[in-house]
Amino acid sequence: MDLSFDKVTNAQTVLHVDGRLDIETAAKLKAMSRKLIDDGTRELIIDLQGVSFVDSSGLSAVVSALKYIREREGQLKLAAVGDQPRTALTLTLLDRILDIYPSVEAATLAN
Amino acid sequence: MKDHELITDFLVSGRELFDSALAFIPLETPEALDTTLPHFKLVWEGEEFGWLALTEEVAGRDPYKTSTRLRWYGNVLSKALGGHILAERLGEELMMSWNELRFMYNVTQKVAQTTELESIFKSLVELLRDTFGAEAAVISQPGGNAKNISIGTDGRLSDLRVTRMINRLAMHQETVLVNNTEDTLEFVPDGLLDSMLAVNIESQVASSCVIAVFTYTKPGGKTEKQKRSEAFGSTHRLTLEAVSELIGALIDNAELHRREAKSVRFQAQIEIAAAIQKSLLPAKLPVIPGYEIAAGTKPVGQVGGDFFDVFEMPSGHIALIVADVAGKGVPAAMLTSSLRIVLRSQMEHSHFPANILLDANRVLYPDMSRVDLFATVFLAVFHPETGQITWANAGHSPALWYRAKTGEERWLMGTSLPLGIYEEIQTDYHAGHFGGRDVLCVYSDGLSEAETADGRFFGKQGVAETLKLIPGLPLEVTKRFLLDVVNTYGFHQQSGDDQTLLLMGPEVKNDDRIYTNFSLPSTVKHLQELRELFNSHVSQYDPELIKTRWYQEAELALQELASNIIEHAYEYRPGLLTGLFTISAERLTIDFVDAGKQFTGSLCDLEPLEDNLLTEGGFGLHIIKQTMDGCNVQRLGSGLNYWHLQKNIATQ
Repeated sequence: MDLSFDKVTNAQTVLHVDGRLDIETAAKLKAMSRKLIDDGTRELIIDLQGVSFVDSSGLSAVVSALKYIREREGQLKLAAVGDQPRTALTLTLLDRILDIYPSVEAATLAN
Repeated sequence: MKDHELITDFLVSGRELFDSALAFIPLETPEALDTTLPHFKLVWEGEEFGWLALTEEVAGRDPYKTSTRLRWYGNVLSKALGGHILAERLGEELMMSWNELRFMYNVTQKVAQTTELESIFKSLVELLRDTFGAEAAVISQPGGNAKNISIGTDGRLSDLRVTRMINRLAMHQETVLVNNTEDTLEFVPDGLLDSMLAVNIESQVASSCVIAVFTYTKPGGKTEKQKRSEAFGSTHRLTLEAVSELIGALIDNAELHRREAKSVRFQAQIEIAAAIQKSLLPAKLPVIPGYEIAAGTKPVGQVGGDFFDVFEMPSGHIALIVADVAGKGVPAAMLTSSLRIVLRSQMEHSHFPANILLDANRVLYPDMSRVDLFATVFLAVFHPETGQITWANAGHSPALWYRAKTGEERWLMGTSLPLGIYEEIQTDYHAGHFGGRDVLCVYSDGLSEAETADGRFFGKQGVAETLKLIPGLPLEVTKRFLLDVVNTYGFHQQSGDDQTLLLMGPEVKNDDRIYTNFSLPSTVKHLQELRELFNSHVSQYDPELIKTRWYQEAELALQELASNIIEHAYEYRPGLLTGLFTISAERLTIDFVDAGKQFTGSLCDLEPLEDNLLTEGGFGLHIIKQTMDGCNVQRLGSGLNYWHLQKNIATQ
């Protein structure tokens, strides 16, 4: 799994995830989200366009980022969620508490 | 004018001045200097080259005058001679260095020509004699007896004398450099030698190796001067030490080479033995309508003491044999071949298991008792038409007869001692009717004695329990599953035993299922391999299934279960993820066995997800429960964990 990010503004960052988000890679996403939030990001958009598979460890990393940014009065958004990741989110009911957008653009523009 | 003429003239002319004869004593012979008489050190450009000395005491001599004159005279001599003498000495050193270089070059050449130590040493001792101007040169090889010593001599040093001398020198450990007969007495009692130089050869693999050069006085004699000129010095010492290092390396290399060659030869022989042993196993098992037979053997090393044999006897009976010769490796493997041949030949004439074992023991006893080996044998004779089975068990692990009709597990215990212990044995045999759905499982103790790190054994109960875990499988699949489970159980075992397993049971008819056995290291890295196996398993059945949400869910459940075992059962410690995928028109099943910690939670009473959405973790079991149509986990009697997941295909 590869991670890269774009700073849209000082407070808004898009984090692109590419590959499988599972037990092997989840810790990397968790660490990167925390770093971006520590550096001032208050709106973190996780772009799942390139993610073909998410397991419960991957979901845990997302929940961890969500809690971390909420404690700092920020906001977490998921964008471009593919088929399998959506299945995983639905099965765990996480689709109910996460803001999910069809694309990064839609997520960036939404308030 | 030559140096010595100049010196003679100079000394003669000084005699009157000192009232005594004068002598020039070169630096090389300090013993010639009588330090009680007045003497003066000769130095030229900071380098000493000898002494100017009076040779007799003169009564009433004025010590001050004598010393002043000696200094003055000495300085003149130094100026006149110093350059010459030092230049000459330098020349000698250069010559020596040159000789040394040429010598080492020759040594290297000799060494490069062959790897045979003896011939290298033979040429080396000759070289040493030439270069060191020695009467004899000796190199003792590892072993230290006369045979192993290469000697270059004119014959005056007997082999025996050299051997004794070498042993004394070897005890010394350090370089010995002696230039007078008296000091050589320690090594050669009769005072034959004038000088000797001996260096110990440092070797990793051999001790008591010495390289030495000697000079001695030949008939006709040598003058003292001659002896002095032949004395060994520090340059000789350094050269010989360099050669000894080289020889040490040669000896080590030769030994390494010898060991390697031996191990390559040994390895080749083992491979042949393994191939022979493999060829003795039945290439094809007999086909019996309505029944399936599966068998396999896995030695711990390349060859083993276990074997199985299944064949149709002339009488139409089927012989089923599993035997275990005590011990492992080549000796046991050799005996398995004889045992197999003897049993086969006995069964040409008889189909009574007890008689066959008695006769086999009688034939094999003389050979087996000689080498202190014995063999355990389980032998069954099955008549497919009538279902009659008879068996005898010579000290082998009890075989399991699972009787489908009653659900009874019958253990076929030993009926006699193993073969090869007594000349005559008493044995019994048993008979019964083998039902169409019964299963016979004969195994060697490599299965039942698989051991955990904390000393628990798999046992015959482990075998029985595993066999029942997934009923109704083709026996080939059961065999692989049972062996994988045994290896999962004994994963930390230092050295296991050969494993042999023979199963006979009902043929699975019209089987549309696909099976994939697996056993992988329990690491996160191996999850990908597991997913690939799963993917190929499902695609084999129907490639279209891979594209469905049904597959997404099944793959996710598999990933969750495997991750759970790695993380919580094994706690990331090494182990095996073992199991079986099965798929049919109705359903997919995923069976997992692990040797990790017990799962203490409950799948039925999971906390509702709605209440815990913001907890990190704990989603895995929810995913499994929601995606699969059946899921249960149990702790087996052996201490293994067994997970069974099921997903119906019709529900997609």
